Amino acid sequence: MSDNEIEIRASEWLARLDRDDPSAALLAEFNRWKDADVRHMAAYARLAATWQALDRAQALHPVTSEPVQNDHLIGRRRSMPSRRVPKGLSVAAGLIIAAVAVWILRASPTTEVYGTTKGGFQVVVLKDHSVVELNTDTTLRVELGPTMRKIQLLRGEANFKVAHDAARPFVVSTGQTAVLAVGTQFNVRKLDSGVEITVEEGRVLVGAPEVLEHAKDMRPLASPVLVAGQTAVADTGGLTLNTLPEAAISRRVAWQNQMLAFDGDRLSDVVAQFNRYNDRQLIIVEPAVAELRIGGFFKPTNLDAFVSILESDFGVRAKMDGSDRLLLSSAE
Amino acid sequence: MCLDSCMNETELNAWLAKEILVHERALRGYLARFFKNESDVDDVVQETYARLLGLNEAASRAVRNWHAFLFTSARNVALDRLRKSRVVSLDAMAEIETLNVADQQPSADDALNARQELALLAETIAGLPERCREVLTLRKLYGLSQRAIAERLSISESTVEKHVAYGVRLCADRMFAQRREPANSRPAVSAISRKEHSDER
Repeated sequence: MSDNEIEIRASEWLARLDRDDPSAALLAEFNRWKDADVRHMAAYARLAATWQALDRAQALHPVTSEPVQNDHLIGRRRSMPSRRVPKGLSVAAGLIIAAVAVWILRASPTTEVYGTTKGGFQVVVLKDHSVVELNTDTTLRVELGPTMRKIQLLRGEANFKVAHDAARPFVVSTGQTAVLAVGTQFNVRKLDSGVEITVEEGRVLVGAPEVLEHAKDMRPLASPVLVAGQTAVADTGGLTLNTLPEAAISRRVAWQNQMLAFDGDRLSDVVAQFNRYNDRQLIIVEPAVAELRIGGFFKPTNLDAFVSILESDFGVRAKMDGSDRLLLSSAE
Repeated sequence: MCLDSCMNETELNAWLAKEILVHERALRGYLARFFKNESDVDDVVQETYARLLGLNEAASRAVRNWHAFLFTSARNVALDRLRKSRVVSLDAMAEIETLNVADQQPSADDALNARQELALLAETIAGLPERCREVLTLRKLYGLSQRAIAERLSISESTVEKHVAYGVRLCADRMFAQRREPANSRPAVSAISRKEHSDER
């Protein structure tokens, strides 16, 4: 870096004026310095332009609306006081942005697209031996390049068992959110607005595709880290993180066995799940019915079995409405 | 375009970064042919910016091509400097006289799209020394005040200030002076021609 005297002085001024409420006397002194030589002004302007450009870095970071649990962060200094942590701050702290690899453009990597229709299920073993399971109504694009394994989840839900390859990060992008891993297992589900990520094994980084698609490895970026047992929903409002008990995690990924698992879930949530798998849609027409609590294992494509259980055990009446709607109401 | 007098500071900074500083690396490359010492190049670049920012309103409105203006000014500053220096490198003088500034065209790489710009920013911040990176991230990504950063990192406010001062110089250096090709910035054309080439085979 240059050891240009004026530049050093300009940087000192910039840093001083960046402190809270510079006094009038200080500002006057700064103006005297700046006006003393047009080169002072120029050096200062160049650094001020740089300083302002750095604000754009905010776009690199998903906004966190909820403070993320500190414990789950890698690279965080244990000694750091955690009191009075501003919203969203805990994610960054000690870690911050790591090197972003220069993209090496070699022979254009092959792109392959996989998909399932409603009620479908498919297991794909990629060339790198990673295993991808596609849930119902899912489309994803796979691009295995020399420095990056890039997956785009265009719709639906998929589970990734990533073959370990530290030199080629595995990045799953969907909309404004990306997940980076080098060897682990996690689940990504595209929601109407946003994405739900559940980690079963190891850890992943969550961040903007712009950053993660250029990341070289798992060195800490300014990205929240999810570890096994955690789930996060990223949407326009930010990132909401939850830690789930093991049983809840396995229920969430039970679809891999082509089953749906519930444990005291509201019928409205259960119905929403079934509707992902079937053209025939369940519609709850009575609010009280929506609150029924459902538990057990169900085959999502066997709608008739589920409906008959609702009718026999839960006091629900199902009525056909046209060819593709089943209206659920109370039997009384 | 009119400088200082009709732009506020934020606008001026944004304009500088977008229209002028993006050419700094190329400008330094141009100047490096005439000056062996990096510090001479630093001085000429600074003096060139000073001339540019010192333009009065009428003069700055008259500038049609800032890239050309930048290189022409730099050439003039360089010539002045070479003439004044005690040990004049005749080669340098000859070369600078004959080199046509008009040959210096803005390269396509100078203009970054939003994605490349973000990648460059990420690279820049990533490359900072650890403590400095921490301070700049807290300040810029999280908007903490210098005082809050000092408290959080258990360091003095004046240390935070020093990291800010050092950090902004390093960032200017990385982003503009010795800007490397940011990730994924290869021109799309080359990717296409490669692809065509491979398709032919």
